[in-house]
Amino acid sequence: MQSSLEKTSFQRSIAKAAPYLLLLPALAGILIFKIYPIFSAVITSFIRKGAFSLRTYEILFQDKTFWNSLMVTLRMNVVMIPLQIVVSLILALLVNSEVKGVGVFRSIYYLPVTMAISVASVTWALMMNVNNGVFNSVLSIFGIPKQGFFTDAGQALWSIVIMATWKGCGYWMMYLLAGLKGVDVSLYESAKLDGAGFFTTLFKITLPLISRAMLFVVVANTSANFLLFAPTKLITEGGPQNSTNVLMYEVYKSAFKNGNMSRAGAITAVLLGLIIILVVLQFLMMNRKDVDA
Amino acid sequence: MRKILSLVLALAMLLTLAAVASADDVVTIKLMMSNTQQTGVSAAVEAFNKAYEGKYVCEAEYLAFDNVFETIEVSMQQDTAEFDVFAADGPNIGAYVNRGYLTPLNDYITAEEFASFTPAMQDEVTVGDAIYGAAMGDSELVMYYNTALLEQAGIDPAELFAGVDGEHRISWEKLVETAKAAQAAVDPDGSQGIIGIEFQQVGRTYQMNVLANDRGGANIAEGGLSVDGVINSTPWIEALTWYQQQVNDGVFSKGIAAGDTSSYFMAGKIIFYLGTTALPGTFDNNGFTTYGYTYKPFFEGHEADVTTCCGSWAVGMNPKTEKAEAAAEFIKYLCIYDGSDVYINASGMLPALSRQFTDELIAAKPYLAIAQYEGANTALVRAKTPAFNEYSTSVNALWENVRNGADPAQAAQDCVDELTTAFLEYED
Repeated sequence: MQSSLEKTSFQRSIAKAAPYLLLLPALAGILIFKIYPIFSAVITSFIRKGAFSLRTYEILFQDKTFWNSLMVTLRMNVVMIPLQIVVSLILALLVNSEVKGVGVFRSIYYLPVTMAISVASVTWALMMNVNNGVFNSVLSIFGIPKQGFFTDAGQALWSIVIMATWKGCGYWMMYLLAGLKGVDVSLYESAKLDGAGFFTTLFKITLPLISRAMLFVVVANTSANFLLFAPTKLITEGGPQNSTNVLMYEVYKSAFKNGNMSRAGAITAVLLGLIIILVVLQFLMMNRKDVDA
Repeated sequence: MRKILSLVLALAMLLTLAAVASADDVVTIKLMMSNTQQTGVSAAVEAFNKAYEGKYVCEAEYLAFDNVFETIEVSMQQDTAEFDVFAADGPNIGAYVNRGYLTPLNDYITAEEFASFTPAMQDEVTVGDAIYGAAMGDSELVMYYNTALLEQAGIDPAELFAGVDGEHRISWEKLVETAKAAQAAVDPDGSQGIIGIEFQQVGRTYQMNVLANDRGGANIAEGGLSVDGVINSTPWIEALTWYQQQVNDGVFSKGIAAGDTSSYFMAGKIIFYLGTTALPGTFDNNGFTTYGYTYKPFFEGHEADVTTCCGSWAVGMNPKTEKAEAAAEFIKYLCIYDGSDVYINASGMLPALSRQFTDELIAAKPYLAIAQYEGANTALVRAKTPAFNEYSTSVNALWENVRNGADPAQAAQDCVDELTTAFLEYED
């Protein structure tokens, strides 16, 4: 009897600890590969010649390149984040319809996600090449002169936005599609009987009911896009005229081209602060919407 | 039978132990090198391993040009001896010393050995009174031209360059005129994408700065921590404006990266091509033979200002290495003794050692005669500054921005502003 009681108690302890034990590997990974580097970068930003100093920030905040880079990052994301979310939602609504062969369309829209960002960047750089890219060949058919795309200061950032949107939308579409699949079909049928049109159904039923999936997409998309780096590194190297010099590229340039880890850490800290502020705002806004609904 | 078997096993064990002990005596040093130097360096490494068999072994890792600099930054900041010796591009040596990436070699290289380098190559690896590297070779700028394209355009290269030598060059103005005429003849509608003139390292300070230098512009102000009044000066603005005009006229290219230009030249897409003396080796390896070479041009009215770029890779020692003796031995073999001859013969680089400028070498590689003249008369070392990484990043971007349509004066001022802030990091 005693033994049986002890066993039960042991089993209870195991059952209590099991979730934490199962979470441990992932938690350890996050601590080692995410949290530690963030803290390390922030600490590095305050160290100069082995001593605590604010000099790095002092220099950074009077650096025109940094402010330009911050503006480029904001300008890119102000356009790209809403664009990606709207396009992803449209795609999700399209592939949520019950038409024959819809699975094929889902796969096609998801296909760019399976491509490595480096491969996508190089491919788009070739397609948008000013001399012999396919885009300019098509434009020339309509009598439109050659466009600079990645070599034009007015077009390079938006060319990256288009490329990143093409690459990323399929991914976010899948989350929104999962949200849409969770909406009870009878609600749409009732709305239809009440005479609700497409937009009324979309804004009054669909969007409120997929708000959790939408919150995840908005937050994750914001973080991902603020940290977008590969196209800048592989295609434009921040140019032309610093028009694509996003903060992430400025971090890379400081750390690995100029060997200035302190400056890289300081820009990382700024970027981190910016993302935290935006994500908190997004949470607050989405939660308020939930309460209002 | 059992006794014989035991004896054989014991003998085998002894032999294995002996082999292990012997292998332990061999010191392995690791070298990190740019793959642009692989042809010459791999031949020298092979010779080193043969010459020091049983004592030292060098294991070389060749990285893509752009990755070399990042790898050095990452590896050195980890405080590891991942590489015992590594390729340090000449102008970066000051920056690496500033960050503590290089060991002084004064204890390993004698004054007599150091004096065997040409003065420019001694200067390139010296910071203060200390020697921080050894030059493998030097580089110079030579102008190559595609003879097949010129002949197709009805231009006789022999006639075009008749009488050209170090003192009597073709001008940039005349070269542009000829390039335009050749382009009009071989590619009248532009559908072939034939480029008139191009630099091998387009968009990189190393070669592009000669356009400003050719008009009397300097690379950096005295002291190495200011470009105000240099990059925004009249010679620079004129050079940047001239370059942009030629890009807009389709004489120089747009949208082609430095790493691709040699392929364009070998594919018959570039008429006049300015590059280093390492190129003929690449041409030979690819079976490309329809080319000639001559002295680089000058700007009319600036005959006395004509300059060429120089300098090359040096080899430095990691301060964290635990094999300093072996590393020093390797550096000396590769840069001063037999390995240097192997490297120069295999690579086509301009020698960094005075003794290597022999008649035999010039006879085997006649283009080196041009490089030798330029080295002695027109070579200008790159900006000497501890902030060379920042300098090259900003100036590379300046040339690329102007190429892509930025206003030259504004772009130059932006570059000055960016570097002025960057230099603050070194003024503490």
